Amino acid sequence: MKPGRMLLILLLVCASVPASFLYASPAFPVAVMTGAACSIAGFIMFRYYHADLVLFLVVQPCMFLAWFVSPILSFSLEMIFIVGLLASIGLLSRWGDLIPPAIFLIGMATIAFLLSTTRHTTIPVLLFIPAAALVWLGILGLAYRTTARAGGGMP
Amino acid sequence: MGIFFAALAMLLFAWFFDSVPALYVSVVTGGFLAFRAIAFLRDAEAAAAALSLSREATPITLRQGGIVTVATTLKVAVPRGMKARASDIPPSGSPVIRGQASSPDLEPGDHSVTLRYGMTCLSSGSIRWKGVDLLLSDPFYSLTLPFRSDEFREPAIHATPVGRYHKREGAGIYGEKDLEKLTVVKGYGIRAFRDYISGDDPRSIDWKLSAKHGKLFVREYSGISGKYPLLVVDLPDSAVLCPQNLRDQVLGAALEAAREMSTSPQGCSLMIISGANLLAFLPHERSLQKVESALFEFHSPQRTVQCYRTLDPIVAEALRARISGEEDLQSDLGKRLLEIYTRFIPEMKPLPFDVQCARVFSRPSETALHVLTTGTGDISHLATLGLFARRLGVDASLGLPEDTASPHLMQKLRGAGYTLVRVV
Repeated sequence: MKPGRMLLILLLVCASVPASFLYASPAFPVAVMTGAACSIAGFIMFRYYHADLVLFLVVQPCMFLAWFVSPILSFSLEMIFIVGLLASIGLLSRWGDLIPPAIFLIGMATIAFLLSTTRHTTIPVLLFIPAAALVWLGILGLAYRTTARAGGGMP
Repeated sequence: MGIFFAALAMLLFAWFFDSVPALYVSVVTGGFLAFRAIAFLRDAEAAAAALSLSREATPITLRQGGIVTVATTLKVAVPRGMKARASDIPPSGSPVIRGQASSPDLEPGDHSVTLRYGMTCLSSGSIRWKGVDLLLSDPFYSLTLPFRSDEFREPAIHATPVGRYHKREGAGIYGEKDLEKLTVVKGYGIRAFRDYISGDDPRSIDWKLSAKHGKLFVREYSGISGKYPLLVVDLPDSAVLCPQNLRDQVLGAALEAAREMSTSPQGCSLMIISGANLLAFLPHERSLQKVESALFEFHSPQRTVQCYRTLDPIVAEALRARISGEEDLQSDLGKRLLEIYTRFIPEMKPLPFDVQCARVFSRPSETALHVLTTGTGDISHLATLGLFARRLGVDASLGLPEDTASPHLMQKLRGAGYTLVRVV
């Protein structure tokens, strides 16, 4: 299969599923237009400028719409697309490679469940910002440690 | 970067429009970035631990300016989903003249890469490599891992110095004799003996004494007199982009000069600055190792003090005197300017750099000044140094790389008090 074709197919699936579920609802025209726009943008990206990460960004409006159908649907589509993305860039070549994405997706499923029980975003946003800051501080510290302690030849 | 901004935009959207789906999308995209960052760093650490190097250089001992052929073999384990590029970092003042010191992009898997290149040693003494850089990248992130431990800097090569100071008009770095270098002049008496340091002129080795004691001794000759210069090395500001080769050329020239000066009776007086910031001052230092470590310690200095457009109090006084002496002082502008100078001059305080320069130049031994600079960015501090040298009657010369030695800059520096501006 041509590189990126699998992601394009996944993008088309993610674009059409929310629209089909929203049939006969007021949001249907918006879902169709969004799905069509994402599909065309994805096809253009695939045809002229192959970049998997851009397809990941292009598919996000469809995830946004899928939430209105069901948070589970949104999470499922997100999970399928992320697994497809990781496989496409060669990060899922062994069974052992599935463990880190599985941990990440379990975390995202928990967040999706918690968010589906809330109506307003004020408290989640206020929790999310310091949590994100702490995570990125930790990542920066890890990056510093990796750079500073690069010695080579270590066991 | 695009994903990061998308996550941020969705977060703001979720906050302002109270949209839970937008918050979810923001969390997923931001979380995915964080997840990939952690996975990337974990793989990078594994790749760093697996890197090993063996480097062969021929010849190990050579004349300064000679060519060294290098074969560096790197064993790299590139993790899945990543690309890697390894670069051998030659010593300062040793540009690569043939071949490539960088590998092509390496795909995932175990690799053994041999980098073959030739470099020319412009600096002298015992020279070691700076190390190796390993650039790792995946579709999300890239990271350069610097390997600077001793095992990545071996072997040391020994470059014997040759005279590179050309005869020139006027007073030179070693005084009025205009010697090509501080050479041994035959017929002069022997002042002392000392241990051989790698790079010493082999002609100065006293073979009889060396054979008697079982180690090499070199003769120090008397009769070499002249001015002992203060060597000033002006390093570029790390906050401003400066090509690496410019910095290397200046450091190479500084090492070369320090090498010769440290063997002189007075030692090497070294002042390391970055703009108007004094980083180190080593008066009469005879240990070349200390000089080298001082030069390499400040590889990326930050200029905390900038003296751009700083007016010297004495220059201000001269300007005030000139304005007051003008005949058409009747104009409002002239009067106002004179009043401003009159009020402000008593309040003007010299910069710390001015005080430091004054202290350094007040030492009786400093009778010549030699400045090495990249010539990039603000040159106010060079003008300050030149001004001090001129005030105290110290002979000042300045060297800068060819790439930055524009006629305009050289003319400007000559006007700043340097009797000689040359290309290093």
